[in-house]
Amino acid sequence: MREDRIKDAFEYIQTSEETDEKVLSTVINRQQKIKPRNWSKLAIAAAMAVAVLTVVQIPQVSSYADSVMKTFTNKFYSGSSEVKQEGNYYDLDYTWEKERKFDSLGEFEEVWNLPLLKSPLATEESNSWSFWPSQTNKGNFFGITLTNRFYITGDLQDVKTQTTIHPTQGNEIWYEKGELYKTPVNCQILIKTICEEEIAPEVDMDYCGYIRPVPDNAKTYYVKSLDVEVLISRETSDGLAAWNDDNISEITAMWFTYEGVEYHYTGDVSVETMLEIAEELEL
Amino acid sequence: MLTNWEFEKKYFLHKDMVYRIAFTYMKNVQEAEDILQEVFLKLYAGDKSFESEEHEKRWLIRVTTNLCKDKLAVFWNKRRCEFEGLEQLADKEAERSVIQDIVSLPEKYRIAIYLHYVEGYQCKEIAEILGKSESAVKMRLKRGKEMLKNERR
Repeated sequence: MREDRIKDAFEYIQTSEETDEKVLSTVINRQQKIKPRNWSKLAIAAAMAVAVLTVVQIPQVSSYADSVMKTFTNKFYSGSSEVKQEGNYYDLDYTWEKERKFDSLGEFEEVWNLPLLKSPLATEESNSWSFWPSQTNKGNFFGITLTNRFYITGDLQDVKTQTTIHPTQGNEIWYEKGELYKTPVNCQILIKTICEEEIAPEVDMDYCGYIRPVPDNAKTYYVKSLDVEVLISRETSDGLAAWNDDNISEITAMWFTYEGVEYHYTGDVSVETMLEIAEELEL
Repeated sequence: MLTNWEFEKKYFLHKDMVYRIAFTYMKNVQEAEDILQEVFLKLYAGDKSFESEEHEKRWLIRVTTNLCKDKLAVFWNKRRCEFEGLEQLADKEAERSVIQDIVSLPEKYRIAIYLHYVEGYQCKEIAEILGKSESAVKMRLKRGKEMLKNERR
């Protein structure tokens, strides 16, 4: 391929006038809606709340279980058999920043009162988790993704990491392959919120993956400690686990739902190692 | 805080680059538009000061690639309609075919190829933008070109 053809071809890709109008109006309007808070009113409200709390013994307002509004079902196909996993819609509080980084899953648990599976093998460090809410065009949040790009580093050698506080900047890792771990195992936790159920007409559910095709080689495995079935596949991928490594062409992916929350782990480790990771997970 | 006029100026200066990179990753017009919107929301809301236009451009490239990676990494995005809307973008078969070949490369090769051949960045600059070593970028360009050649045979 002649190299100038690449440039010429890409120059055809341009935004339409309609897109420009839509993006400009959405960005400008949304930004103008964010007005400075009325601190004096907030202070009065906070003072009143403190006063009420000191006089009345209010029981624990809600547990995470109370915040579960509805359930949904993910369907997977492992060979010819159908695997169903039940998930929950959670009613979570979005009063904080839209995107940010965190040091540990414990921080999320405290904020949302929602227990999450953690691995004792994990290597959490400052800003190792990024928090990403998914939003529709109308601005409604329908899900949260928590990502740690090097959650478990196993027997990788000479591991050096660089994390940033800025949510849009990805964390980096450098390492030499180990015997069991050829790459780090990353972890993604997906929490669907009640908003998704409320805004369902806005979202093409089939497109969003409700009925999910999985690779033909995906197999189900039973994880005794969690009492769940997990799906595991070996995938050729240029996905998350391979992005930082030129020599990776295949990864192991594992996903399952536990207490309504979806967990997804990928990395170039064997299926057996991935199952060991699953067996060690605990709330 | 940017004025609307300043923001629009920046938008029209960089929109096509952001859109092209987003399409290169997402392979889908609708999702590329979503990324475009999110990137410029960040620019407008972020109130970030840049040392130069080039600094701003690189920041936009970085934010776009990170947003795309995060979106693609979301598992429920795995089932996606690739190349949807490509005919809207390039009406000639020849252009469509070139774009399709590039965006079909593994991500690590296609972004390096894009930044080199379309944006005109040299290996060292791509390495700075992507946070990779220069040798890794050279390797990616070399392998990307080889894969394109094989694809065309």
